[in-house]
Parts: sequence; structure tokens; C-alpha cells
Amino acid sequence: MKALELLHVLLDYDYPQVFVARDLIGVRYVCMVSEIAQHGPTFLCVPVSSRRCDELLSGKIDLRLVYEEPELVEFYRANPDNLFEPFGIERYIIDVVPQELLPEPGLTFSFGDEVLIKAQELNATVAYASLAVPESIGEPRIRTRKLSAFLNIYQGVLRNLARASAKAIGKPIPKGEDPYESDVFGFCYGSFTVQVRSSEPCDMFGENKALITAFQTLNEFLDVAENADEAVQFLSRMKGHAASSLIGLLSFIAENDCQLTNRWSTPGMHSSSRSRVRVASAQNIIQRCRSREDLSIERLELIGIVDSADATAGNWKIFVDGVAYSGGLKEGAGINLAGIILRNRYKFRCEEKIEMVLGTGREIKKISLIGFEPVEAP
Amino acid sequence: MSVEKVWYEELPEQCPPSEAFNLDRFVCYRLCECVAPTDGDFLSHRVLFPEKIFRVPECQARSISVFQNPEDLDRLLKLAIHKHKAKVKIILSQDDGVAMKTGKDSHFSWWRSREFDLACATGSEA
Repeated sequence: MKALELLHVLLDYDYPQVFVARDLIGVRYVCMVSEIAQHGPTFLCVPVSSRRCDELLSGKIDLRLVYEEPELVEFYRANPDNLFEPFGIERYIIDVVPQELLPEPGLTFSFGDEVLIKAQELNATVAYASLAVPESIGEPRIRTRKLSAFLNIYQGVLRNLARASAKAIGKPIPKGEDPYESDVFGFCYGSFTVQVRSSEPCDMFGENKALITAFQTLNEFLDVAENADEAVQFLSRMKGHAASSLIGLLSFIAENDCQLTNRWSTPGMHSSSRSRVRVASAQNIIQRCRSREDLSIERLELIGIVDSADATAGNWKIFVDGVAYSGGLKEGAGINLAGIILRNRYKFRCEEKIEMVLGTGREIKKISLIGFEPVEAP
Repeated sequence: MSVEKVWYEELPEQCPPSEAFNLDRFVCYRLCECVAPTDGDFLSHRVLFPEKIFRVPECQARSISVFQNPEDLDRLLKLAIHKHKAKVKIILSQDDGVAMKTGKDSHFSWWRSREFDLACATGSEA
């Protein structure tokens, strides 16, 4: 028995009434509810070519044509128990679909959101980042070093926005976990468009919460970027790693003279979210950020075992849950490390200044101590 | 949702979602078997098909589809399985449950309370 998996719901009312599914070798099927019995609905399915499927999704043909003039005289019936999983279909031997089962003429669908369609096909959180680089005007082409730099910066933005948002709601992402990682799975026309998807398996709804938060925040920022004042306020609220990586993204856009359009979707969204930042907007924001060193500073509280504290050089090292942090003293903070007892437990209040290396997206962190106090062992 | 409601069917935790709103003469439309609707026209697919999972969260599986614009039901009426049905106007009030915008067009999910009275389904089209 053949098995299908649901791709796109075209008409929903209490439950899917019309949907597109595919079999194990990628052949598309259009399925329509044709009978409702006590145990559940039965769907009448018909295989369609990719072209016909595209025509149906984009409203160029109506549903009736799919059943009235099938490309193959091959029909199936399905009684799926669980549309989250592949379901079996049974051959239904008829030459033509009886008139009483045919839909009325004029039932068309407008399903042209390629990002949403891809999210549903992959059942994953996906994004399309389009870079309007000058070399992509005539063909889908981009300098290798630009693409490499962009991907590093883009992933850095996702990481920092996901971590900042999780921290803001009191559920920080533990060290060593990286649920916001993404994989590039393709390129397509439209400036130079990079297609990325969640690396981690998504939940049953194709959602990756960390990536969703990161994409939401990124597009919120791109939306306010037209107004430099609002954008700087946004960065002031984010601060630290998140602000620094967004500024890094703007610098990339300004230096490479390429507008960025970011579209993302989960399978369950009504439509994909689309935001854009122009080169001029990026330049304006960067100009204003030049006098705002505070944007890239993040407060940090380190509770752990002090390994070294050099009162003369003003350097220190502390181990927090096995991870070593080291740094210097905040200028003008008037701190003396002389009183610190090594191998004892302390709370270090610090400022972390983040700088992004353009081209690699790598972050350089400088930690400065602004205060400390001994703490009891847990 | 300040008023405690008794739901028509058992709902999972955090259902209806916090985004759902109280109904205050909320006018909506649903397809019913005939212009004089019966209780059976207002059942969620979880009640109708307890074993089926139709790729929606369990909370939504226990809601009922309604549209704010009667024209949006015209697309469903083009399907052979629904073409005999009647568009029924329903005026929902606070006691009838809560609703939330979901899906495309003017589609809403309505979580029905036990208080819902068939009398608020007028059986007339827009």
C-alpha cells in the first residue's frame, strides 16, 4: 500500500478539507474530502505533476480541473488516522470521478508564499535571507568571501538573539546547548537568497522555539531600522552580544552595499514574516552607534572559584561550573584584588564588552570587573 | 476570560489559549445540515472523531470553526460533500464560550460552553 504525508492544507474547516500530500518518491497528490462516515472523513486523492501542483497552489487552475481532467487516470482513497504521520492510500478503481463528487467550478487557492510552502514541506522552521549584492543583479551569484562572512554573521545574530530572548524570560539556554543552529539547504533566485532551516529536529508542528524567537526579534529590528532613532532604542534594550551582532550585520550590509530581506516561517504560520533593511538605513544606524559604546556592553555576574588574582597587573581568573573566565579591572572602579583569597568562592560583578570581527563574525569579549564579594558554598 | 465557564467538552491544560476573547454579540457563520440547526452541527472534530489527529494542536481540535464573513463559506460549499448545507448565522454572547482568530480569511476557532443555546443560531444567511 502506498503511503502519503501531508504537505499543505489548502482548505481547512474543523479539519483539512483539501490538502496536498506526497508519496515516498516525491510524487504530489491532491486530496479532497469526499465522504464523511461515523469513523471519520474519507479523502479522494489524485496524483499530480509538479507543474499542475504549482498551478493549483497559485490559483491558475481550479480544484475541479484536477479531478475532472486528471493527468493520470489513477485515483486513491484515504482514511488517515493521524495527519502528523504518513498514512496509507488505497487504489480506487474508477475511470472518471462521478459528477456528484466533483467540486463546483471556481474553487481556487492562493498559496504563493514560497517560504511557508518550504516550511510545510520540510516541517521545519525555515528562513530565506536575500542579499542584494551587486554581482547578483543578472544571475544568482555572490562572492565566496561575502557569502562566508554573511553566514557567520547571520548565525551569530540568531545565536545571540535566541540567547538574549531566552535570558529575558528567565529561561536561559544552558551553555553547551545550541538549539538555534541552522543549516543552509539551498540557494534560489531573488537577489542572492540563502535558504536556511533549523538544524535541530523541530517539534511535531515543525517549530524550533529558539529559532522562532531569534527570527521574530531579527525581523522586528529590521522593521524599525528605517527609523535610526527607533533602531538605536531597540539596540539599547538588547545590549551586549545581541546588540553587537545586529550592529555587525548592519556593518556587513553597509560595507557590501547589499540590502537584506529576511523571510521566515514555521509550517503553522498563516504567512511568512518578511522584513527588509536598506543600505542607507544601515549606514544611518551605524553612524549613530559610533558614539554609543554602551550598546555593546553587557552586565555579567560570575559566581565561582577564584583561580588567580594579580593585584599588581589587575588580572584575574575565575572558574564558573568548570568554565574559566578571565579579565581585568574596570577603569576608574577603584577595585583592589589584594583581599581576594584564592580557591575561595566569590561573586564577580563584571561588564562584558563585545566586539565583532567583520568578515568572520567572530566575537571578541573583554571582561572588566566592577565589584566582587565572597559567597557561601552552595 | 474573567467569567468561569463550563466547557462543552473536556479541554486540555491552558485551553482555550490566553489569546482567546470573550464573546459579546459576536456574529459568525457556520455550515449546518439545514437552516434549522441541531446540536450535532456544533460539535468539534474531537467529539465527532475521537481517534483522529488532524495536524492541529489538541486544543484547536476541540474547537469549532466559524467564519465572520459568510462569503468565506462559499468556498466550502463548492465541495460536493458540503454543497447541500446551509449557511447559518450565529450570534454568540459571553455565556456561549470564547473564540480566537485562527487560520485564513475570517476563520475563528470557537470553544463552546455548555451554556450555548441553539436559539442564537438564527438559521438565516447574511
